[in-house]
Amino acid sequence: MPGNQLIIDADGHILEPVDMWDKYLEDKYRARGIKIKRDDNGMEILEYDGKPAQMIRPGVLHTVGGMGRKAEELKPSPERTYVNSAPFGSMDMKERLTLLDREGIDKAILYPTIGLLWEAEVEDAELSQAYCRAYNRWIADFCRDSGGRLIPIAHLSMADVPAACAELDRAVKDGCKGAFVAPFNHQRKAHGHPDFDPLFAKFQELDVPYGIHPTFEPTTLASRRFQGLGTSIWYHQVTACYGAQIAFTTLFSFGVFDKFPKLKVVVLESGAGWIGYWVDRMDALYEVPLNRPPLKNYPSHYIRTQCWISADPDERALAGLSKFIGADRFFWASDFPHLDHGREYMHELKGLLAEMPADAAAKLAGQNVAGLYKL
Amino acid sequence: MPSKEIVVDADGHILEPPDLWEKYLEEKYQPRSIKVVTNDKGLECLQYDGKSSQMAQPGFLAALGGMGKEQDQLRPAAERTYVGCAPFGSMDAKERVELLDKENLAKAVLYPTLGILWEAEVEDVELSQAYCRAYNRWIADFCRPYSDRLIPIAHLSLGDPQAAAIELERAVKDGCRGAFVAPFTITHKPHGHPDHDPVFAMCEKLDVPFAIHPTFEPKGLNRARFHGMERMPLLGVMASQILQQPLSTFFQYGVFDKFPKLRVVILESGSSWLGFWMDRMDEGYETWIGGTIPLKHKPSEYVRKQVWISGDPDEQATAYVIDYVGRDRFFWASDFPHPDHGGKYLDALERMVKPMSPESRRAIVGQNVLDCYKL
Repeated sequence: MPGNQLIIDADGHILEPVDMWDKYLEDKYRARGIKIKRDDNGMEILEYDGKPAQMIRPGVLHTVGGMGRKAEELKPSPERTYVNSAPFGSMDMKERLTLLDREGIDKAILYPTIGLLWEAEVEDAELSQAYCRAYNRWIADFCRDSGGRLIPIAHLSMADVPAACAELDRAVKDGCKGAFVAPFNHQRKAHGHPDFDPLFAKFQELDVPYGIHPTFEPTTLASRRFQGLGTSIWYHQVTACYGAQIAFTTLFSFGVFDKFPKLKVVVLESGAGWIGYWVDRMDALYEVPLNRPPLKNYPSHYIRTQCWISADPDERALAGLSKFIGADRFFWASDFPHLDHGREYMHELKGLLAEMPADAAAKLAGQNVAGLYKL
Repeated sequence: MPSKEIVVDADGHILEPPDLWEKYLEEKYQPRSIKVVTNDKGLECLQYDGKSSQMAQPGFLAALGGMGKEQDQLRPAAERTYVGCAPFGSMDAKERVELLDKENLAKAVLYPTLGILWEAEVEDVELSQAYCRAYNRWIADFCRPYSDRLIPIAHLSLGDPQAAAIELERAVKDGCRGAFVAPFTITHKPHGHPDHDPVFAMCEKLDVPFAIHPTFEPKGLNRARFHGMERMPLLGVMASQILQQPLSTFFQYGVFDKFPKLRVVILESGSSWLGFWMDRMDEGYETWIGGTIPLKHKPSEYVRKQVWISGDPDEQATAYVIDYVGRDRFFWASDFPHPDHGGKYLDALERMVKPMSPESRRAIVGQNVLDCYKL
């Protein structure tokens, strides 16, 4: 990688401090905050609104920062905690900058960790908004003195649209450079649904990107195709891209891009190599007379003008594909420090960039993110 | 298409005669046959086991041969019938060969039409086996006079794997060159589950490919995320997900190590995503998560030896990933005469292969099908 190339991690994570919600939640909600406690066996558990989280088992919270670790280091244990297992750079702003320096990364766009877990289990729309506000205030503070190298992104919850609009407005004024939503909502209302138009309008008005980032999801949304794969981690890992793919597609189903021609949409942590197929197939379906979407142009037109997609750096299929889709559309992301991706992301990124023409490589490495988020 | 290249349609369809099951079902099951009946509004309905199909709406059958027609020609109407609307070559073997001649196609691998509708609604495992046997006897007879041009493929139902294995053996002796199953199973057992080993063992013994072809599906298998997804435009793009799920279970259960000569074919769900899926499966395999699946090698290594995929000819992205995935892996298919793909498949194929090397063109337009099916 040339030393002068701009390198930006489009999707890194921080581990929120354990007392973050206690400190940043409004008084009224403090008692209902997100807390880390211990169960009778001494295992850490996560608590939302006074109830233990069901989807993260006792003693496994320490694994969320487990990138690069071996299976035996990821077992439930009372000795291993969320904080004492947090790797260098995952909880402290200055450490993160040091880590970026060490790896030759200029900037990182930051997303939460616990913030990706709770929404699946918290159905109270008002409390969800409060949790989001707390995180958003904190992440803006966390990044504030990073010299513009750590980029805060707000978390929005879709259950209360006016509240989400107001919070986006507030968070962006406070320093956030965009926002993300989960690939689901408890009302099971498609992302492209007109009820969310005020939110898209707000993104357009503020001129910040709308991201879709995978999260824990209610188990009722899981594919019911097969039984017996409940504990098949690898299977769930490979299919974890589906939620974002579907949520993203509904933006086309409802014609969102014509209504909001300056809306900018980012798909995160779901791979990127599917987008070629997606373009071809959506364009083909657009031509089939049955059930045409309300779009003035082919879906590929909007993908090539209003959408960006963040790749895993080990996606070798991307080198060829970016020639087809256009080199302007792709980011890369580390997913640091999460356990579901490997630690060798810089090595993988170098390998991927080496297979691309220099200008396309420079765009993927950092120029596209810098351009979109105006960094 | 230059005439020197052997062009093979890897997935064409026939419209079964409406009395197929009455003629070919064993006597015991005759009263429970698949039937085309007319309702009191004069619209054709499909009936399984004495009950009207819930998924095939009245009047829908006439649209099944509607490739290339406009929406107003596909609407239900009493004057439009399944047989009356069947295009040239969709119901008659001699006509189909004439159509192949006209289009300069050497061969077509044939799949059913009604046969990919009923399985979603028939939960009786014994009856499902009987329906499959009837189709398989018929398609072998249909192709017999033109066995070098029309390639019969048996339909298997995995609800009873022992019966399916026996039926595969019978059907292959009768002329079938391979088998296909639906992307779901009535038992909800994943395709790769060891209970299905007798079928894989039989495919290996008979040296024929095992294919997965999309079908109508029981409700709620995939579209639980949002309300109204059944009618949302463009969600047909989820075909890739529907086939990736069963394919991935072959890795989850280590099927390719147990059956190193098994050949798996993925049909009618796009093809350019295969590179993405290889990257994604490998990525999971290379972290600690890989230790949870019983594989001797990286998933992509099995894909490059034991998996083939049939693309839509309007997939432009395939040309950009074919060198990465391997040119030996890809087929193309017409989907004739079904209405969910466009009618100009030969023009599309020409565009698809245009950017490819001569070796890749030769492989994808026909040679790979000949090799995989040993034709």
